[in-house]
Amino acid sequence: MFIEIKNAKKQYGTGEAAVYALDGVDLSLEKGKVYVILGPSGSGKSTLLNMIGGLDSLDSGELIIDGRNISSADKKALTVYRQEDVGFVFQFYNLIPDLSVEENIEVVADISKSPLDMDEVLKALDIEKYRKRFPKELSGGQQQRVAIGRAMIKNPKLLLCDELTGALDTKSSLAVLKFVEKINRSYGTTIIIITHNEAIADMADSVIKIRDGKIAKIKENPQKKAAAELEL
Amino acid sequence: MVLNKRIFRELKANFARYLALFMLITGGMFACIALSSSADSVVTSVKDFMEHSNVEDGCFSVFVPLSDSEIDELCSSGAEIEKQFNMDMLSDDGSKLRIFQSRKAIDIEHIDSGTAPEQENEIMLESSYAKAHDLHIGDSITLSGKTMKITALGVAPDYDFLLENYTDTAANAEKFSIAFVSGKGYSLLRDVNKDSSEEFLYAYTLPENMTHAQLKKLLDGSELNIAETDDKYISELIDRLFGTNGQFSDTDFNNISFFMQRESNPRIGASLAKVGMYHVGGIITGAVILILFAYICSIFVIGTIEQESQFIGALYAMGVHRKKIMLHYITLPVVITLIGGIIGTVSGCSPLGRGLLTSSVIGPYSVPQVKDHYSVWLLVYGILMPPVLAAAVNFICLRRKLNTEPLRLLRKEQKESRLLNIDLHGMGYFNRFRIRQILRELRITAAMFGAIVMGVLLLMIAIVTYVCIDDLAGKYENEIPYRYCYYMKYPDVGNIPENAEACYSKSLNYTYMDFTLQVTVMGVEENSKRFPFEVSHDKNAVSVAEGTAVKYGLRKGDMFCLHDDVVGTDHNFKVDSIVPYSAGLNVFMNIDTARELFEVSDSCYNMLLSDEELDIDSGRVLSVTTRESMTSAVETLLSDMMPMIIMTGVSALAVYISVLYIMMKMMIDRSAFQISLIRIFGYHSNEIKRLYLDGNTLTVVISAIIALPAAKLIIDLIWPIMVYNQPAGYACEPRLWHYAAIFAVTMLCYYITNSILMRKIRRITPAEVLKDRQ
Repeated sequence: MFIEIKNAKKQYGTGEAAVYALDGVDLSLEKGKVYVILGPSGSGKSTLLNMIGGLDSLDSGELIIDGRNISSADKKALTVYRQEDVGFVFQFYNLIPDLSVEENIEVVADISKSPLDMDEVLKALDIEKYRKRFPKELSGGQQQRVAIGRAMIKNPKLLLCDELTGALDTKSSLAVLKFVEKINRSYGTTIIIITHNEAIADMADSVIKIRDGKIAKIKENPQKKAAAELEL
Repeated sequence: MVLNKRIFRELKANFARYLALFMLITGGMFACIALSSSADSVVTSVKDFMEHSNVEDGCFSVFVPLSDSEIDELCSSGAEIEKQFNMDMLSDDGSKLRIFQSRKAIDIEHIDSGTAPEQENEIMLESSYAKAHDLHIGDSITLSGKTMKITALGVAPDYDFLLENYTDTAANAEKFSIAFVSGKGYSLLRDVNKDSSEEFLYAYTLPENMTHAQLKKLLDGSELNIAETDDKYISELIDRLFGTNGQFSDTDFNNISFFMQRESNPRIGASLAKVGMYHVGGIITGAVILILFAYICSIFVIGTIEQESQFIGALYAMGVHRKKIMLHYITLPVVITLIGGIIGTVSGCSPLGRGLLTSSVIGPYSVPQVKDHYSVWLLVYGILMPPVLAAAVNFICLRRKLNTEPLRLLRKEQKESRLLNIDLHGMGYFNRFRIRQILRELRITAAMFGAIVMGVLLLMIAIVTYVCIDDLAGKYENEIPYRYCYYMKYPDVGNIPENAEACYSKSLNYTYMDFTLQVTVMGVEENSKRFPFEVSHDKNAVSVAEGTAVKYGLRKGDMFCLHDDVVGTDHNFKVDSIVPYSAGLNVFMNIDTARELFEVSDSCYNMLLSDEELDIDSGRVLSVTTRESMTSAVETLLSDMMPMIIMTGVSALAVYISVLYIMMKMMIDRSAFQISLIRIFGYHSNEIKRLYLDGNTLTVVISAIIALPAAKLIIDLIWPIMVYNQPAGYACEPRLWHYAAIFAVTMLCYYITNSILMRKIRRITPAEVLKDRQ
């Protein structure tokens, strides 16, 4: 298995105010597949994504990614892990406003050992013509594509998308999801998408439902839809 | 690193902020380096000069010249003695020149330009006198009807401070200076000036194993060679004192009229003491600016990180190392401060910086042409300190901020101050909002407070310096109760000219903060018309002049210990009263009490005060001082200090406007999103200004109210250090209107800044900010 999560627990707050964001999660994910994690607000899906991305640490349990035990890694090792293996896409893009499209992507290419070709990524995401523009000159969908480009340029093994269409309209959302699908196909990248939007689940190889910090259901999706066919 | 492409864009986007920061550093380093390097150059030049001129260890004057054998005897002890006889002569314009013969061994004069006078009609003028009178080499000057050709301009180490009398407050090269002539020239001028008195002054240097007291003891044993002198006045005095048959012994009459060690001589090395203060002042100014800058820098860093927290979090999530991000944020402030430091240092060292301050630094002192001296550590301080400090402060703040977990940065999680929960019920909405805004931006408020304290302090120093010197000039004009003061060469008895008042005065030494100044004990007549106050009748008590009391912080009942270098004794006086007199450093007692104390005859006097010129033989008079010359010396001091006063004032305004602008702009930048929101709610620019800017009015008003007494306290502490070597009491007492003026200037600077920022508020549109947020 590419990702192995065993009895993962995470608690925020103490005493009566304690909340179990993850309450004994066990999960196995395969390489090169698209996973969608669904769940209501506060269910623990973002916490799970952050754990997998090395942004947060478990209170107990194990998290093994590509044979590496992330749950016991120190800060330095986590930084190297994020640098080499993980690409993040956020709901609000978090692009640097005073860097152009190309430069925003270059920031990550700079620290990558074997980055993809910039032109190839820009072309794949259809943002070639905007390469010299600044984020504020782009629409939300275009900005999110830049954010995907930034995450993909280092050719990560794992692409983590946190509500990536949450701030987009339907048309832009579809366009962005098409690019995510294309990345999975072209580069064999394992993709985890967390979302509220159940319609997105149709494009996943596997749908994981999470509730109150526990895995409620895992549903394989042998007849997954192409992104273009989604009814958002 | 691609990230660094942001640097230029950041600079462009916040040009005004960085310009203000740049100006603060450039201006601060300019002031610091100009002041310190001018001072350094003067100190180096003067020290070098003093070493080469073999400056005296001390000097003494006698009533009757020493015989050659006596001088030989003194020299056999290892001491070196050189005659420095001198006489005062008036030039055509009424200014006074003290004429010396060129020296060969001690206090050798330095020629700035020209060649030493060799012929009897040649003269070397002191440089600042020549400048003040627009005299040049090749010109002529007429002294008591004798025309002399100027062949050289220069200075002498024993007249570094051109005081006519040791007890004078200030020097004025327009009215008094020194000149040197050849031996033949001196004889010639002595002949044309034979009716005037000549001072029999000797300078000495001591071998390592000899003390001043030992030399003094040898001198005390010297004979009084009446036969050796052709001075009729001393013979007359001896006749009066001991009868015409000359039946007196050496022990009855001490030939030494005056004995002074170099350390007690206010004319020697005064520039070094004063300039040393400027040097320290420059460094402190730089340090204060740098501390203020460091604090502002830290606010910038913290603000920037809080503002860009999500981007930084995203970069962390991508695996970008903290070091890279830190380097990125450190680069711009370091580059700006490096450039600011370089420009400030270079311009401070340039003729512009030095030219601006050298006149204030040299001021009334007579020093050789100042050679530029570049102290390596000062250059390092000016160029490297700002960027090093910027790097250090940024590093410390960034390290703390960037140590935050990526998730917290992404979520923009910030600690909220408990202060914000303060209960403000009962207050109107606007006031509540403003107070919370102040509390939210407490760091910025603290920086504004710091800037206001510093600005108020600088303004107060400028105003107090101006006012106290100006006041003193006024007091000299109003309080000096005579137009002419005649210092008699010999203690005289009887025959007090009509309309004159006789005094018996004695100059004693007082050492304060390791610096010795002369305090004159004035014995004044009972019911004196000129000094209309009660004075002490007790030998062990004195009435202290207000100026002296101010200078040394004396109060009634204190003890005041003065030292007599001539006799080598201490006088412990109790302060009997403080009397209203501000000129120079004086204490008063009844004339008969003074005569008794200093063991002179009952009718003896050595000073005559008058409102008109007295018809007395000039041979009896050592020197004459006028109220006008004393007042004008203080006025000259004021004009010498003006560039410094102006620069201090301008620095205060620069600090006010730059810091207030930077901080208030930052406040608006940080609130831009909120401002755009409340604009959507329907608020007008003026209402937004009331909420976000006018709260600062309270900060500025309270800061100024606290800063005014705080600045006064600080000045009270540093003022004695600033004037420690000034032979007068400069009262540091700002008046109510000075406080009001400083407050008004502070508020004016604030309102100017406020108006500039109002334009920024008008430019914040809801659409722009909301789009940015998206």
